[in-house]
Amino acid sequence: MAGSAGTKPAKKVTTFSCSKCGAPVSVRYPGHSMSAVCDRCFSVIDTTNDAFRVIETYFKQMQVHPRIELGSRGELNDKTWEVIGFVVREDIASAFKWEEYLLFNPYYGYRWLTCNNGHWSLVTTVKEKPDFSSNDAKIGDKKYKLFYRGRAKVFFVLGEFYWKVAVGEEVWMADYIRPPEMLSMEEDRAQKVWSISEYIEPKVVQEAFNVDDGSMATPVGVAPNQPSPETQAWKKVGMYWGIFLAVLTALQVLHCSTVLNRVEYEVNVPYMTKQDSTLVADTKKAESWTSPVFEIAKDKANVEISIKGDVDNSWLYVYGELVNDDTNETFSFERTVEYYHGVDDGESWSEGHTTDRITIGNVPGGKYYFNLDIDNGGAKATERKTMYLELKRDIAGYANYLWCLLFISILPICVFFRSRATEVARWSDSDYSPYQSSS
Amino acid sequence: MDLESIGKMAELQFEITPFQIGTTGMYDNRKFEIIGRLKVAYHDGFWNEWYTIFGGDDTGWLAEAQGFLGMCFAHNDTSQMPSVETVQPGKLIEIKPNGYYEVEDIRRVHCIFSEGELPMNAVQGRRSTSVDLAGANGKMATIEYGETVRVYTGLYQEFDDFTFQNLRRLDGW
Repeated sequence: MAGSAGTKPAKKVTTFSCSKCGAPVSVRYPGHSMSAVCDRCFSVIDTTNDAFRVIETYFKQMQVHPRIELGSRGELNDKTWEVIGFVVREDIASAFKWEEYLLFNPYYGYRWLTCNNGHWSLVTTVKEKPDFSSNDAKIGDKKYKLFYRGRAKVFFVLGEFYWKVAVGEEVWMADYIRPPEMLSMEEDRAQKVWSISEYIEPKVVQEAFNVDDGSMATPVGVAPNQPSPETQAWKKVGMYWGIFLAVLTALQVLHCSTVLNRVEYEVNVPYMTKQDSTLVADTKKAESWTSPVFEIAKDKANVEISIKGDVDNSWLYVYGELVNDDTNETFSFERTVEYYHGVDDGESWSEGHTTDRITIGNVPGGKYYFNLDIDNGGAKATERKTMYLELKRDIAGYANYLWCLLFISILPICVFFRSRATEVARWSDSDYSPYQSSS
Repeated sequence: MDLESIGKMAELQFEITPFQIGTTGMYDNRKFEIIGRLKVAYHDGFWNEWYTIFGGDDTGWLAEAQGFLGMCFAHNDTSQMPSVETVQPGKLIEIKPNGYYEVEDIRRVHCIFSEGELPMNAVQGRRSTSVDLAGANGKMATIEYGETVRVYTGLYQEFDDFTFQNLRRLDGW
């Protein structure tokens, strides 16, 4: 089982004269190969018996040079393979051509190496038949997605083959992908053959068979079964993202369900309205008001202070202090509520609001009172009115949750869009792209 | 189709099979030894059927065709088999109690070479129709339509999984 990369085997070959042109034709594996191609006139010759009947003569002008020299050996997946045949195939609908190299090892049988748009795959025939559901094929637990269906024909051949090859030979084909694998079907009147292709980096092929740089083609686009680092990253990142989102949301739900969310103090504060047309509060003209002492429960938590003003095309300004009666620790706040509305050119409009809320975090529990300075303006008349003041203890907060959500989503979203771009490129050659609603 | 000359071509001069009489291997955790061989020709090629003996005098056939290896055993119940005229590729055939198999191909075959020990019914020159079938999880079967109908069932297995020993040396490999 010896044989190092790129070496030519020292081995007996059978040679006969081409029945068409007389040139010597060599058959490396006469017991196995059923047909061989004369490399001078490209006639395909039946090698199953020594009549060497010409199966087919070659009329086309165009010849294709194999990138890997026939007869060379290379190691792939720890096994040595000898390149014995070369086929160029063509999709009948699009005339797109790709290359297939027949590999042989007397212990392990046959494999194919395909070169499609500069992308390489190692192909193994399988006996297992897949199961189908709509556009998917399944072998065991592996699900492959339909990528291509069409007819292909043999365009050019060189070397030797385990069947009687013929240029022009047509088959129905279907490819189902699951990168880095592809499941392919070939069907003619006599049989339906399934195979699995595995993507191989061009460099691996080049090194295995000692192919010179000039013979390698630059891969174009994303191959149907080319593994995408972006998609692999997305599968992982997306999973962790999902887990984080779930945990974060669970914590938030827990947080919401355990908060006190209780009104500790509420009051209607009286004040006199002003007909001032000024729109700016003046603390010197403000009315002062102090509340009685009330209790705030819990050790450390937030408070939400709501102010509702009886404003109607007017404004109400409040400067407030929440003072701890024991320690004199003071939390100050400042708000203006204003509400204007009217009808201009037959269209009604409104602006502002009558209620505002302030959340203050980390307020220790204890005895507290409010000091308020109230100013206002724009009222229609000078009269006695009240504003509503409320203090709610320990309300559910969403800011932390939303910031965390944003923060942990930036990377996954970037990864997702990069993965999607690769997948869209991969499927751009397919009639069955999941990224197109119809085609 | 000239089977006689295919036979000539198939003479051992071009033999590159890795097996020989005396090769041993493992199948289903049991050791077997190759004791005989039939070489069978059809229109587009040949394959080898290696006659193997397991401990306890059980015998099986190791089929070697186009790089695929399958070990199969005579299946006793042949009463339910369809007639050869109704068999075509893609047809599902039930082989009880194993389940359903799909017809892969149908070939007129001709035994062109034999060596070693073989069962009484395997004679050189015998002509028959051989139907290859494939089932789930690597299952395979062969129905042989000759003077009588014979059914063989078994499994495809990777070369390395047989852990062969005493293989034939192949020049250059």
